[in-house]
Amino acid sequence: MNLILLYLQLILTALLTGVACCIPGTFLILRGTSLISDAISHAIFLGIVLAFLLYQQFYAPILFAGATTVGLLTVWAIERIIASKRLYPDAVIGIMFPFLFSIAVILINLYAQNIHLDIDAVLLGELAFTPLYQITYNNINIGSYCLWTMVAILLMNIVTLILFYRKLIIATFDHDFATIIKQKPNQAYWTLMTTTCITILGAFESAGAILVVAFIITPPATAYLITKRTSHMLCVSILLSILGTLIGCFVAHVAAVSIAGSIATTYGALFAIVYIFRSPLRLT
Amino acid sequence: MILFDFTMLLICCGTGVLGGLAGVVGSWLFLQRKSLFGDTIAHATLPGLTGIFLLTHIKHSGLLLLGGLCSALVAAYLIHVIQQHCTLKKDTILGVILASSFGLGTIFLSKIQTLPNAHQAGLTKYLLGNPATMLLEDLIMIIIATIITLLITMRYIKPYAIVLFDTTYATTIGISINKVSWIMLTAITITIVFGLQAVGIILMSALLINPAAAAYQWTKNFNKMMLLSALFGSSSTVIGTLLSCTTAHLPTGPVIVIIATMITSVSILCSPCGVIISWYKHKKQIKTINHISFLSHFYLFNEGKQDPFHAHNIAALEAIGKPFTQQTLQFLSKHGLIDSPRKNFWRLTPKGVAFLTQKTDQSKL
Amino acid sequence: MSHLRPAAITIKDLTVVYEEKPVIWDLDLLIPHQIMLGIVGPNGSGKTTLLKSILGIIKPIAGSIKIDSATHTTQDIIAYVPQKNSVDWTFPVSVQDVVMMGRYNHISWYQRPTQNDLDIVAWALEQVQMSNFAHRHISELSGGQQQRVFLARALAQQTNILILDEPFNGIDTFTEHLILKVLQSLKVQGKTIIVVHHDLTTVRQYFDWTFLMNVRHIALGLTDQVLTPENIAKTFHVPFSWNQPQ
Repeated sequence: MNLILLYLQLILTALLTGVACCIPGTFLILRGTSLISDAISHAIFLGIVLAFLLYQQFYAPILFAGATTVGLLTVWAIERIIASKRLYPDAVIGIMFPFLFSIAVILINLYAQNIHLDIDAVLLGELAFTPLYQITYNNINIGSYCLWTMVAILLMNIVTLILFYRKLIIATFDHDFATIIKQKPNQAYWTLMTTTCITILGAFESAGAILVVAFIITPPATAYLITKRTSHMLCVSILLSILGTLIGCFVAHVAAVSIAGSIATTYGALFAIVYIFRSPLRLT
Repeated sequence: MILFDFTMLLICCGTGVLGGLAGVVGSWLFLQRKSLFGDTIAHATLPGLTGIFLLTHIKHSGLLLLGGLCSALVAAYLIHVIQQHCTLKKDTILGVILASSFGLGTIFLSKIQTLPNAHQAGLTKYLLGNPATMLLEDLIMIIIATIITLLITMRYIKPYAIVLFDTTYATTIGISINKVSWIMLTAITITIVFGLQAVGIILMSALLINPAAAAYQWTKNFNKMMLLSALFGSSSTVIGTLLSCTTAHLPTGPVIVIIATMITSVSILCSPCGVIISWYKHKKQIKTINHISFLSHFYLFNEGKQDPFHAHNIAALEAIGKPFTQQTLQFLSKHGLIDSPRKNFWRLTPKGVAFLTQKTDQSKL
Repeated sequence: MSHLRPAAITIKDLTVVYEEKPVIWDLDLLIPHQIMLGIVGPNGSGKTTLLKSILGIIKPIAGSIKIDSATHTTQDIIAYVPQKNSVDWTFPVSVQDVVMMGRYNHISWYQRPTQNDLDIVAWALEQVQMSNFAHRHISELSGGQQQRVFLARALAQQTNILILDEPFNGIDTFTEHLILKVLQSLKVQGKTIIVVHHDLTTVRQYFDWTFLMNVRHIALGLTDQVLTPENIAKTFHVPFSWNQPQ
């Protein structure tokens, strides 16, 4: 396949992933529970392993449904344990995700050794491999599975944002008020969690289990430093994400290093720059 | 037979010590609600570990760990600074530092992958841990690190405890909060960096928090909690190491984590304030029912209605008395102190009112 | 007092329990229309829980709450002004955004706020003298200004009943007088104002009706009739409940 086209697909996939992650990421940060995305990503990894062991296929819709369910169940379990008041909330997250991840790793070692499920690749992501799985239609390649999955997820996130924008803002800002005026904050919360799970699942291919946290948290956190409206925060985070992804891809190409790592580090560098210059950069 | 194998003994000693240290240090993090801070620091060791190898091409574990220590301390400093100067929430800052530093580490790791001698395998062991590769010199380093950490702990644990629990008081008695916090933070970071050999970066959080969380269920005394935590930590690592080294296809890090989590779960269920005993106490209360206290609710809260014979809804009574409500109601009704004017409603009888009035007068004396 | 109209809020046998301890027990309360009611009681007496039960945020274990909706024409029935610390003030919204939240029930998800909504928000901000702050970020506000923004949001809801949780706590004198003035003018317009109040010394001055509570109903009525030394003693003596004899 044409090398240029291959690279373009790669970059496009990364861009789509970054932008798609900004949307749930913004609200997770505003809620103050952004590290739940770390817990979700480890839980989803287990979901993928379980689904794979049961169905022996990688790209089935079952995989998506199963992994998302595991993610949502984990969120629910974390909430219930926190409510029981026997452990502090951060401790619950810190115990839950290594536990789920450990089960996944052991399962892989026990039952899936023959199949190529390289743990390092899953942990660190390897965007470079994504064009390997192409969709063909009438014998024409129309892009990798990963690319089109991220297109679908981005559309899903945009639609969710349009439908739930006000509900999400009011549920995050003042939960009680939202309940009183019947804006259904719990509905907004679980919608957010569901889109987060699905987005993280889709981003696995591009970013890997750990670095997906970079895509979800860093650009919105950077935007938060210099914006005063939620709408601005969303826009700025998307712009930063695009900028960071492009720079990251370029650096990865030039230095021949991991793409996901490059992007995550670039996001971090952008955060540092914006942090230092946040006073002059602030948008009124 | 296996235990007498020198390598096995060495590895168990190594991981046992690491587990114990992680338990102690983890209890400080746990009590400060900084559990995820430990996780972030663990991830922040990656750029140092990989970076120093990239620079020097020497694969000496001491050197690698030194690199990891430096990058972890830098990360800790950055977290502290950012927290002071902007309104970003704590866990967001942790997320940014965690992801960015891990990203940098991933870049270095992928660069190492392209080097001719394929040394990457030796470094990825720090992701999920692999104590099976522990050598004698590693054990010696661990012991030295442990001694240093223990010395620091013994010297500074008293002022640190005060800083943890009451910063204002600490300042008033002249403790330098910054100095003590940073010294202890160094001890924490050393523990985390060395502990990576047992469980790896990704699972380090579990080794730090689980022993502490489990110990917390058994005691709220700071010193006892640290000791119990150390015990739970060592047990997890030693048992985990033995199990994984003697069974095929079981990676050590994950096994340690699962054992540690099981210890926590068992503690939550079986400790004196745990789930099982609480349930048992409730059941036991049926036999040693505090009738007077229950009865008092009928009386006192009728003041507003000026009707001591106002009937209460059973749902309301059950919410207070939960598991033993029915038995209490039967008991009180049998003694003529309450009756039921209509279904699901209960009220005091004149005898009940008289009984309580007598009790009130007695207690007011 | 109106004998012809049903009470604005009718509460019977309300019981709320938290972790097996009664927070509100068997409470009866009839709040008439067009009064300014002060709810007074010690800490932990269930006052905020009572408000939250009326608003539907907390589900009681027993009892009923009926709100007179015969006269309301809008979707909102009760407007709520919470305590200042119940919200994250670093959230990226402006003062106007917060007040506009009071109009959300009138705006469908696919619509933008109408001119009418904007006018009402502007009017509400003017009532609390925060018009100049409309486009400021909420993190730039002082405690008193934060309270005023919450009040403006409640005004924008245009309801007949307003419930406020300790609005006079920890604010400057200017804001205190301003809020009082706004509430009094609302009462004259026919609204019912219910306030959980923290300061016994100003109850007589602010409220024509008072409700004393401490987990249970102690006294309700005109302030002068209710605030007797006996009632106050009953409300504030600690502890009110039996200790476990053992």
